[in-house]
Amino acid sequence: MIERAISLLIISSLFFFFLLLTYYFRHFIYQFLSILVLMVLQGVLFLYLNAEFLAAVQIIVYVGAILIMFLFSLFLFPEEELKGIKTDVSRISYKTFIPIGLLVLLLVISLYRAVPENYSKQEFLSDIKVIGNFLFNEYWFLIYLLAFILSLPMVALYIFFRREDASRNN
Amino acid sequence: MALGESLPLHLEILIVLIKIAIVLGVFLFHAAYTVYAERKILGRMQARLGPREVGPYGLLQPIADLVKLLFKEDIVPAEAHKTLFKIAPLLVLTFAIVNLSVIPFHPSFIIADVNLGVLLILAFAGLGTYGIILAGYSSGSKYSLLGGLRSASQILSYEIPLSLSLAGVILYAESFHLRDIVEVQVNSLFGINVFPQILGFIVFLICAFAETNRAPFDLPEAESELVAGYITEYSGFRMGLFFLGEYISMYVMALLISICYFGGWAFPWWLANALPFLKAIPPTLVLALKVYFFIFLFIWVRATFPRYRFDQLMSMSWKILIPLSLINFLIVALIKWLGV
Amino acid sequence: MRRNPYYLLFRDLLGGLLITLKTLFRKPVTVEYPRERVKVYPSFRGRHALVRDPETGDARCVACLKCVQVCPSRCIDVKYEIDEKTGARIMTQYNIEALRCIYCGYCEEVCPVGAIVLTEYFEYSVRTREEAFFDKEKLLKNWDEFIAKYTEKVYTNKFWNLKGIPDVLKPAPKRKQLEVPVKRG
Ligand code: SF4
Ligand code: SF4
Repeated sequence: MIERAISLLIISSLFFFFLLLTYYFRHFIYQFLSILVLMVLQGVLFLYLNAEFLAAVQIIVYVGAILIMFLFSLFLFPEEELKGIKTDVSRISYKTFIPIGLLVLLLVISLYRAVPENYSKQEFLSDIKVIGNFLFNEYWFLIYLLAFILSLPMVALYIFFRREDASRNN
Repeated sequence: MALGESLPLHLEILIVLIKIAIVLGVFLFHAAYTVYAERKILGRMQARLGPREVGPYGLLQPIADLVKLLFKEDIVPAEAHKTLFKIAPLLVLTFAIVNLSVIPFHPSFIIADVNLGVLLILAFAGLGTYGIILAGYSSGSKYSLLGGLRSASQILSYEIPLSLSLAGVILYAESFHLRDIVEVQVNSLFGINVFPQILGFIVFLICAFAETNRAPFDLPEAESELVAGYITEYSGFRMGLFFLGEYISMYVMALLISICYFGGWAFPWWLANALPFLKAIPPTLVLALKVYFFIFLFIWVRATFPRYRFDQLMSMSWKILIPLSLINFLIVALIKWLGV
Repeated sequence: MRRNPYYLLFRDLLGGLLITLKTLFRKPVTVEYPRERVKVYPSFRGRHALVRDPETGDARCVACLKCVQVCPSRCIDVKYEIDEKTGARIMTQYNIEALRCIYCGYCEEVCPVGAIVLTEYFEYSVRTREEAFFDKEKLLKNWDEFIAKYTEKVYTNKFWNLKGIPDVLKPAPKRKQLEVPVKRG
């Protein structure tokens, strides 16, 4: 069991690493490439969950086709427009994080309180597999929804900053 | 893997490492000598002699080429994106070589015994495209960029008929595993898959030429228009890596054709019944002969056909090959439904 | 546009493949140069030479400057003096810049006495520009080198005696076959 936990840890830390890289890079292509690595990592995650078919389809369809189309369209831009993209962290107000933090806190509390009878609380805290089972069995819809909701502000932020950049140049 | 189950972990890893070493050695040797064979055959097909100077009959030519490539100056253009420029040839080579791990060379010799062999090959082919497209972009020259873009759109549009024609084979065998595909087709009514799936075979063959960027679909490296396409800015050993990747993916495609459509290491049952002595030939040799034939076909076609225009290439994929492979899929479904 | 339905049989493609397959078993036409040699045909236009007259032992050139005029790349340069007594021209310098020559053969064709000739000797690659600059001495030496390996008794050049030109239009020495007897031994 421990090696599965370690590999999950490695995969998820890689996820975070490349997620941060998308903000770190100033060049559009490099940002895009880190998203690409994220997609491949998603395939690896499917492999970890013993869903080989899903992993293969993920890589064939998303990495092999859709992202190449995106990259294709990126190449048509002149080089000057691709580089020097700034994600100005100081512009993100701390207020943005308050609702997210509250949401996460609420979620953790409610999760902890809502552990059903058939899971022992001791095991629940220590064993990663039990948490996984629990989340996927009882709350999969909620997690899906949460992921969706969380991705919305990211997209919104991104669009917001792009606009700002363009107007500053004019 | 009946052998591995009883063994401790470190021995198992050792066995896999030895297998990898064998496969890599054999294929690097083959890739080097395919270059020689290609130059020789191309020469003879144009009534020339081909390489003759190094060693008897020019047999040491690949070694001379290798030494030359190794000692050439390694140039990274000032305009290039340095990291991407250096990674790109490695990507191409790696994803070409990784394909070899899921191909069975013998009923009991396969490096990674996974159930999704065919799908994995398709996935790696998709990843290998990034090597080419990034090489084109990171060189910082317009010829390279255009070559990379061409190759991206070409591989993208040929991957679809390729996988659709493979879908017919997979449906017939009801398995993604290449070994099962061989066993099912050898014992089926037709013996080998070409007879019921001649359409699929033709589509696959054409797509194999396009996927490996070989003539007549070598538009990404069209000398007359784009200097050398995405390898324009590469020199020395990095360029050698691209060529190695191209030749190894040629071998992967030849292996796939002979396994999926020509019965791999086995003879069809009617041939084996008629000529029983054929069973004495070792399976790997049978597979190798089939593969050599298709490599020869690759070279033969290169010597014969002129290059396609880009719009012809695209319309051929989308207007002809995809419908054909769908028809092939329907035929296979019909055969399955009739229970032949 | 309707296409002939036979194209579905890939007849043209297979025919093309057959042609290359046939060529595979043909004898290659390559000549491996340093080991084998191509046959050099008479009147091949190779290195320049000034014909050494076997009687006088000097060049036959009469300094008429026809070759200088006709040369398209202007690579011939002739200097001459006039003999006071006879009034004849005597050629003193004859320079050819072989790197500029296009080997058109006009000079040997136009020469009335067959003095300049492009020999059949072609292996004269050089390392410096000066070596490819032929003056009178070098040109005579070229002729000696060429003639040392020449097997026949009489040297003649196709361009000296062009067919189909009426005799009236030819200069006097060319009206009969123009030849150089080659001294042997
Ligand atoms: S061969 Fe032609 S170019 Fe050469 S010297 Fe004679 S006239 Fe001039
Ligand atoms: S044409 Fe003949 S004779 Fe006249 S200058 Fe030239 S080489 Fe001398």
